Amino acid sequence: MNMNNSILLIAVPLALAFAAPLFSMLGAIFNRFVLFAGILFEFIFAGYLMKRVLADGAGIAVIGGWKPPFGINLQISYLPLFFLLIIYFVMIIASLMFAARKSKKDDSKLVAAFLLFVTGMSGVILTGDIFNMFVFFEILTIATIILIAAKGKPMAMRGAIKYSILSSIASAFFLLSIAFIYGTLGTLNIAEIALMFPQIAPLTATFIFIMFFGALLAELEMFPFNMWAPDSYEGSYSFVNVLLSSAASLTAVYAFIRIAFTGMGYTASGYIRPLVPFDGGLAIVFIGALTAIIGEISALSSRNIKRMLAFSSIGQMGLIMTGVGIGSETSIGAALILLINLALSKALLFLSTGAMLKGSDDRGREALTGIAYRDKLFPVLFILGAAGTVGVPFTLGFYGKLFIAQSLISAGGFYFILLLLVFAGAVIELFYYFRVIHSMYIKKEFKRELDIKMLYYIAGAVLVGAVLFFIFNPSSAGQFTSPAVRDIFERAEYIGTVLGTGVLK
Amino acid sequence: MIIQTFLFVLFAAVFAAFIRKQYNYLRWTMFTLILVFLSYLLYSIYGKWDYSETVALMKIGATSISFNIRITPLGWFFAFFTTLLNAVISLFSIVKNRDEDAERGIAFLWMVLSALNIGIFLASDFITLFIFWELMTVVSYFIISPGWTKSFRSVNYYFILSLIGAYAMLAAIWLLKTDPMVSTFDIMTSVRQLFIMWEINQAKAFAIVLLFLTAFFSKSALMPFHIWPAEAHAEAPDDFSAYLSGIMIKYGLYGVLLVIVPLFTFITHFSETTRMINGIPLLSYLIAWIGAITSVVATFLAINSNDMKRLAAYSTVGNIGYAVTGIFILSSMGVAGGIFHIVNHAVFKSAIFISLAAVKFRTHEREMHRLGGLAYKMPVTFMTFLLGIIAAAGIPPLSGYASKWMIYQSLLSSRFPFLTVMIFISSTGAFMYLFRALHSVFLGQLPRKFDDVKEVPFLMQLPMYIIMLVMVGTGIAPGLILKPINTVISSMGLMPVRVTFTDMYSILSRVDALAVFLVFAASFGVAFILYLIGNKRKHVEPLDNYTAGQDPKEFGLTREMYHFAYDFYEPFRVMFKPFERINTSAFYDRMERAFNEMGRSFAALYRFSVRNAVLFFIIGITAIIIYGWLI
Repeated sequence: MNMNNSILLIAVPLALAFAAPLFSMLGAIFNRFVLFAGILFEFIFAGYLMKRVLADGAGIAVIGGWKPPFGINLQISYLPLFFLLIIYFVMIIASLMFAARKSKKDDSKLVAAFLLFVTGMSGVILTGDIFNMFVFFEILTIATIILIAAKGKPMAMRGAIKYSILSSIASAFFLLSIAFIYGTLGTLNIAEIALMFPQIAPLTATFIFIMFFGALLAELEMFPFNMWAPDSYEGSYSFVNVLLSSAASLTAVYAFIRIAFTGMGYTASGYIRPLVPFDGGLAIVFIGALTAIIGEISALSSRNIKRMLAFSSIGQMGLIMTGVGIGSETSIGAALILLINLALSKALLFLSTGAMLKGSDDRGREALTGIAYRDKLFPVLFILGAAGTVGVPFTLGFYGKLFIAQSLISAGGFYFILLLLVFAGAVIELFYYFRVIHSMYIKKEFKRELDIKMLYYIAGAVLVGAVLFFIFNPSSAGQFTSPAVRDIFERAEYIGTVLGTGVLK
Repeated sequence: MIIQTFLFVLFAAVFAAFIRKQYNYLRWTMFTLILVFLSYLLYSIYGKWDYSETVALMKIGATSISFNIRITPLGWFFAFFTTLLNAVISLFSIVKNRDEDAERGIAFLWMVLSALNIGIFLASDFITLFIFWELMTVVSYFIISPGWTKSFRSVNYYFILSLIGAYAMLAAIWLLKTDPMVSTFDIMTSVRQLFIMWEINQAKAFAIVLLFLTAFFSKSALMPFHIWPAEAHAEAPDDFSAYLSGIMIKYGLYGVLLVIVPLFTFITHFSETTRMINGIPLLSYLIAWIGAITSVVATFLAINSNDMKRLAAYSTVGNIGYAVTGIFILSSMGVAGGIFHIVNHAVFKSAIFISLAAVKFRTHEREMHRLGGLAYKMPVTFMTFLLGIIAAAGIPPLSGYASKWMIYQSLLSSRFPFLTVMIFISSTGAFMYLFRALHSVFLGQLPRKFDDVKEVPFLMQLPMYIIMLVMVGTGIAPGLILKPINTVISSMGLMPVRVTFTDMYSILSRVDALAVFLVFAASFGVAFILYLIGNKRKHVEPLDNYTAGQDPKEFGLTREMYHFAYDFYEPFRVMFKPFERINTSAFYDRMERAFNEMGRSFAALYRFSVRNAVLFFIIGITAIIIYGWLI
C-alpha cells in the first residue's frame, strides 16, 4: 500500500523552519502561531495515518519511484506512529510553553530550531534507511544544540558544548557502524539488513553492534555517556527540558529498537535479542540498571530542582532501557508504558517547576517553600507528575515498574541482583520527590511574586487530562502498547512490508 | 458495591478538601459520619464470606493484573474493628482540628486512608494488597508531616523503612508468581502452593518468606525496624498518633496472619523435611524470639524516654512484640491470644494517645517533666489514661489482662519457658514506664503555669467515655471479642479456643473474668465504705505533703522543683548504660550519610569539564568492547 503523503510529516516542519525568518517579519505572535499550528498539523496528520494503518495495515512511502531496497522508503506502521503521536502530543505542550514566554529577538531562530528538531525527529522515526536515519539524527542533534544554548547563560553554553562534543563522537561511531554494514552487506535499507544480518561474521557483528550501541548511548542518557544531560537541562529553558526529556530520548529509544531489534535482532522462545556473539541483552540491561541507580542517587544530592529532574530523567531512561534490554514481550510492553509515562509526567514536572521557579534566582528546594499556599494548582501538577514518575499505584509508572520487576525476576539469575538496584533506585526516587513536595507545603510565608501565563494553565490542563485518562483507563495503555510490541516482535512482517512479500517466500 | 464505596469516600474526601476553613467542624463531622457509615456497611456484610468483586486493570504479554476484593473472616474482623475505632478517634478530631492550620490536607488524606485501610483488609490477591499497601504508605506520609519542618526527619524514617518493606513485598510477590508451581495471585491459593514449593524448593520458598517478613515487620516495627514509631508516632498530629499506633501499625501483623501463619500451620502439620522445635518450625520459633526481644528492647527504650508520645510509641512496639510471640507459637491459644492482644492494644493505645492528645491540647507540652498534677484539673482525661495503662499493664479487671493471660498460657502449655520469661520481663518493665507516665503527667505537683487548665470540651470527652466503656466491657466479657476471633482462627484452619462470654479456658487453668471483676469491684467498694465511715478529712495541698508541713516559701521552693519527674529512672538507665552503644537509629543515620555521600560523588562526575565527559565516554565504550570481546 502506498502512503506517499506521509512525507508531509517531514516536509512540512522543514519548510516551515526555513520560512521562520520570513514569518518573523509579520510579527512575533505570528511566528509562535505558525509553530503551534505546524505541530498541531503533525499530530493530526499522524493520527490520520494511524487510523489508516489500523484500518488497512502497515505501508511504506517510496521516495522518487525508487523501490526499496534501492531507494529510501518511509515506514508507516503502528510502532513509528505510536512513538510519533506521543512525541507530537508532548511537543504541543512544549510549543504552548514556548508561546507563553516573553517576546525576544531570537524568537524566529528558536522557532526554526524547534521546527528542525521536529523534522529530525520525524525523520529518524519514519525512515527505513539507516544512512537516512543518520542524517536526520544530525539534524536533530544540531537543533538540540541550538535549543540548549538558547538561554545564553554559562551553564547553557557548558551543556551545549558537552552535548555537541559527545554527540559528534557518537555520530562518528554511528557512521562507522553504517560504513561497516555497507561494506559487508552492501545495503543501507533496514529491512534488507535484517534479512542479511545473520550472514555477517560474529566478530564483525560484535563490532557493528558496539559502535551502533555507543552511538545511541549518549542520546539515551545512559551512564557514563550522559555527562551532558544535567548541565543541559539545568541551563536551558523549560520548554527545551520538555523536548529533551520527553521527545529526544523517546526518539533514541525508537532508533535503538528499530536497529538493534529489527535490524540486528532475532527472536527465540519469547525473547528478542540482538544477534551478537555475546549476550547483548544483558549488556543493555546492566547499563540500564546501573544508570537507574546512579541517576537516582545523584538526584538525591542535587540541590537545584531542574538538575534533580534531569537526574531523575536519566534514572527513568535507565529503567526503560532495562525493560527494552530484557526483550520479553512483557518487559518491552512495560518499557513502552513507561515511555508514555515518562513523556507525560516529565512534561508535567518541567511545566510546573518552570512555572513555579520563574523569576527566582534560587533554584533549590528552598525557593518553593510554602508555594502551595500562594498558588494551589501548580503544586498539584507537580504532585501528579511526581506520582507518575515514582510509580504511585494507578499511575502508568506503577504498572511499568510492576511489569519490569516481573520480567527481571522471571529472567532469573543475575537479573535478580539488577532488580535490587532498580528497587533501591525507586526508593530513593520516592524519597527525593516527596522531599520537594513536602517543602512546597511547609507553612512559611512565600515572598516571591508568581507570574504564571494563561498558556501554562492550558498546557497543564491538557497534560492532566491525559494523565487522568490513563489513571481511570489503565487497560487502554495496555491496548495501545500491545500492537507496538507485536510490531517489534514480528520482524518478518516489517521486512515483508518494505521489500514486498515476494522476497520472503 | 465495595469498590463503589471506595470511590464514594474518595469523592467525599475531595469535597471535604474544598470546605472553607471557618466550617472546619463540618469537615470533621463529615469524616465521622463517613466512618460510621462505613462501619455500618461492614457490619451489614458480616457473614457473606466469599463475596467478591473484580476490576480488570491491565494486561501485558501473558500476565494480566486485576483488582480483587473478597470478604474473608480475618479481613472482615480487622476491617470492621479498625473502622469502628477510627470513627471513635475521629470524634476527638472534630474539636481538636477546629483551629488547626494543616487540617484541610489532613482531613482529605485521612479520609482516603480510611478507605485504603478497609482495602488492605479486604484485598484478596497480592497485587491488590500491594496497591493498597503502597498507597497507604504514600498517603500517610503527608498526614504525619503536614508541612511541618520538625517532623520531616521523623517521617522519613517511617517512609524509607516502609518503602523498603513495600518493595521487598513486591519482589516476594513476583518471585512467588513467576514460579511454575504457582498459578495465581490469589492469596489463599498461592499460600497453599507456596507450601508445596517449600517442600520441593526450600531455598526459594525460604527467600520468599523472608521477603514477606521484611515487608510485614518493617510496617509493624519489629527488630531491627523498631525505631520508627518513636519518631513518627511522636511527631504526627496528636489525634493521628492514636490512629497510627492503634491501627496502622497492625497492618504488618495482619499480613503475617494472612500469609505466614497459614503457611507455617501447613508446615507444622504436613511437612516432613522441616526442622521442628517443640512442634513448631525452627523459623517460627526464631521469629517468636524476635518478637520477645523486640518487646524487651522497646520496653527498655520506653523506660528511658522523657517525651510522653515517644514513651507511648515504644510501648506500642513492645505490645506488638507480645502479639508476635503469641502468634508464632502457632497454637490456637497463641494465635487467638495474639489477635486478641492486637485488638485490645488498638483500644487501650487509642485511649492513651487520646488522653495524651487532650493533655497536649490544653498544655502544649510533650516533655513529661514539664507537666504534672493534672489529675484534678482534667479528671476524665486522667481516668481514661488510668484505665488505659491498667489495661496496657495487664492488670485484671480490664481487657489487657485477658489477652496477656492467653499469651502466657499458650507459651507455657506449648513449653517455651524462656520466651515466657522474656515476656514477663517486658511486662514488668511496662509497669515501670506506665507508672512513670501516670506520675509525671497526672500526679505529682501541678506547675504554676497550668493553674487555670480546664478539662477538654465535651465532644473530646465523648470518645474517651466510649473507649473506657469498651475497655471495661471487654475486660468483663472477653467473649465479646474472642467469639469473633474464634470464627477467624477456625477459618485459618486452627481449633477454636474454648471460651464463653465471661470464662476463658486453657489446658492449664480457667479464668472467670466476671468473678475477677466482681472481686475487684467489691474490694473497691469496701475501701469506699471505709472512706465514707472514716474520720473527717482535711484537704492538704500536695506541696505541703511533700515538705512535711514546713512552709516551702521559706526555702524559696516552687511546685515545679518538687515534681520529681526528670530522668525518673536514672539508676536503671545507669545500670543498662553499656547497651546504649547499640544504637539502631545511629546506624540508619550512618546509612543515610553514606548514601548522600555516594550521591554527591556521583553527581560531582557530572560537574567536570568537557574533557572528562569525553574521557568517561571513551571509558564506557572501552568497557563495552572488552565485555563484547571477552565473552
